[in-house]
Amino acid sequence: MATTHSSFVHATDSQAVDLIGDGAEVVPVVRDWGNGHMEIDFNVAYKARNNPFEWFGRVPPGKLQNYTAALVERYGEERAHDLTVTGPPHAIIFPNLFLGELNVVFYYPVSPNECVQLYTPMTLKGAPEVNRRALHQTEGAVGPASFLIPEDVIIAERNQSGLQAGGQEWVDLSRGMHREYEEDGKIVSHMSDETVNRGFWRRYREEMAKTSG
Amino acid sequence: MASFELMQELTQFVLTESRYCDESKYSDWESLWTDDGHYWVPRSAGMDPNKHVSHINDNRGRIHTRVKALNSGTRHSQVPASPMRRVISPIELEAEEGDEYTVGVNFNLTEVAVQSTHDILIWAGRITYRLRREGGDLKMASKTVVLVNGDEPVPNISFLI
Repeated sequence: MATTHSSFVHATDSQAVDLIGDGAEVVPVVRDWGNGHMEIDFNVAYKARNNPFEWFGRVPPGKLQNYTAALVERYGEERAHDLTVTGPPHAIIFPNLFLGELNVVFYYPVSPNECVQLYTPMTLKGAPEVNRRALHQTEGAVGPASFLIPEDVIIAERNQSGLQAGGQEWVDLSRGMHREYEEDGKIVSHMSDETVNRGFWRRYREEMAKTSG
Repeated sequence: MASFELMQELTQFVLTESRYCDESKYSDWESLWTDDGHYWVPRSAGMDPNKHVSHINDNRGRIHTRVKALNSGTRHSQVPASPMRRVISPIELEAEEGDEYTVGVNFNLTEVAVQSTHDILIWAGRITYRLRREGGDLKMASKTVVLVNGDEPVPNISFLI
């Protein structure tokens, strides 16, 4: 299933395709944490698949030998394995912090037609193998010449043109409303649903409606 | 002093490489690379690509991935490809070592972002090539592009710069 625009990830070997494709047994979910914070929880799918470092671009564990050995030494085989199967969150902290596994991104809307994004890889103390890969992965995913964000940027720019066309009072963000469910007090739904968009704009409206001073 | 013939040959290589970029001849462009090619666009000169995030820091494998993406037809940020032309300065042969030549040029590139905004974008900077003779032909062992505004927020660089 194409969750958004079809992407270059569909033209190459990628963990994303497996995770959201028709053959996937457990599909990632979106979760509205409340107050405009949200996540795509890929980890439910990673846990079901149980492969080390799938969240880290499927790096073969042999390429992170020192890191893996250090984890085993500290946590034991079983816990170390579990720790490598799931990755850091893929989340938005309202209003402008994006955590994309090992990518940290701040986005600053500077005018109605311009948004600047600052980004960096998250690095770990004493884990040069991980950091080398994190740097390379950030360049491949988040930068202006990377393989993911430029695609999103173009689609966002096209959306912006659409919004400027006028004549429409509403933007429909109702996708998936019929199948949302509650889990631990949070609203959860299929990965392709606009649950998180609704969560973001609810908080935005709240903030903008506050009277100043 | 390098021979006229050598300078002509190096110039020809740089101009052809530039045209392949301008005309989105992705596979032709890929064929110019050596097996250990390195395509690098740092944020600014003097940065360490192993420590600092680069705009582009492609080893040969990622150069191939980049070309594959551009050839896929689903690289939305380059569908359709940006019309663009770059003006290349006369080349400077900065170093010559055995079969390898280090060549520097300044460039000025005008791109039209036809995929969405239709903005006209100006890119400028210095390109340093490391060209190596392999079996008689010149190949590109590295291409480093230092933009004048590399340390500012920049729009998509999903075309070949």
